[in-house]
Amino acid sequence: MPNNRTPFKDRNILIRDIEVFLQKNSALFRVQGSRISHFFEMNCYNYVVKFYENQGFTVLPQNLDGGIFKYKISAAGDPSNFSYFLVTKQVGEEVYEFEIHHNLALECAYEDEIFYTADISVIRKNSIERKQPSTYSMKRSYCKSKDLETFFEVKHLAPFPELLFSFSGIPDSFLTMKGRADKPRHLAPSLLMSGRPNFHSEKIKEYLQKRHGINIILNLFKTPSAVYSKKYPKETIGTI
Amino acid sequence: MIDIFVKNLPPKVAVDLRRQYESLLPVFNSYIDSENARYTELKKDKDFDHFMLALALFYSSVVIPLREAESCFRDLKSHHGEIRSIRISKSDFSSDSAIAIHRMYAEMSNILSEHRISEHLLLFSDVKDFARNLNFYIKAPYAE
Repeated sequence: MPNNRTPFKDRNILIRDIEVFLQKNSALFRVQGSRISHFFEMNCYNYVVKFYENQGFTVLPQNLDGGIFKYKISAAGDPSNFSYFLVTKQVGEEVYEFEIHHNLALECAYEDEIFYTADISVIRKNSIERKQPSTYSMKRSYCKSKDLETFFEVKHLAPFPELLFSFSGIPDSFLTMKGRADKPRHLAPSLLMSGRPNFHSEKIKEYLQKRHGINIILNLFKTPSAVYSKKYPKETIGTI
Repeated sequence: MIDIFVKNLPPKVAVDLRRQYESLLPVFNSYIDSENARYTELKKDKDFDHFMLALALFYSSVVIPLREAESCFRDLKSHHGEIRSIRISKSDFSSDSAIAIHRMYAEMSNILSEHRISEHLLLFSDVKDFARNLNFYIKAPYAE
């Protein structure tokens, strides 16, 4: 006979409690459940905004639609129809203004008309271009590498080797590193993941961060502040 | 065991969750069936072990993302008073959505706390880690 007790309760009571909970919240899961995959990306976007707040930037939402902040949750769509944040900071005589966008296409630093859509990107103010590349049947909006400060890839997954290695190659092709001013500093290109690392993923993360000067920030459900808090050391890059 | 967790989820989320569960189950069973003393307690009630795996996946894939959305919404509103609600795709996430999620998360936390189930057990890095921690959880002395 199995012992029905979990450490402090009967396991049948636990199963019953969970069943009641699921039934009671069924409407909520049905309605909000379809947006779950977007929620993590949306949170990461806000963590990046918070990083700039913590660095002393003034942060202002832009392009609100009657008080509604419209997240751009897919690569499709014109960015001018969505909201974003403008972050501003004065360093000495100079005022720096950057825009933080969601799902914006970025053009390769070395080859025209090769694009990659970063989940989150930080770009110079007013630097989104709109044109019809020869290989596309319609116009698209994008940011050139010369105006790209940094970017972030978001994955609501547990870390695994192939994914960690595949991210490390992207910054080389899309980010211009030459001629950056020392200040203000941005987070270096980062992979943000919800899952908890095991020993092996932790080791790969340490290796890739050191080798490529990127950030791999894991276990974000447990420690979201790892993105924005000064308590967690991270790789940074200067301003383009 | 995953059925009760997926039955009220939208089809795509339900399929993803079921796929996760079914892909982890054979590995999890191999730990349960192994001779390793670290997994002895798991042999006593395999159905309960499977229930706990399904609960862990539901918690990390559904409950936590909803909790984070609610906290992110609250954070946005408190820092930027001009933001009244947020739009994701074609639907709005308003204060009412945030309140409903807040209540749901409080209920779940209450259940976990009553049964002394830590978040650490549910947010596992791999199945081996989960099997080891679940064995430890089941083995813990009865307090009452």
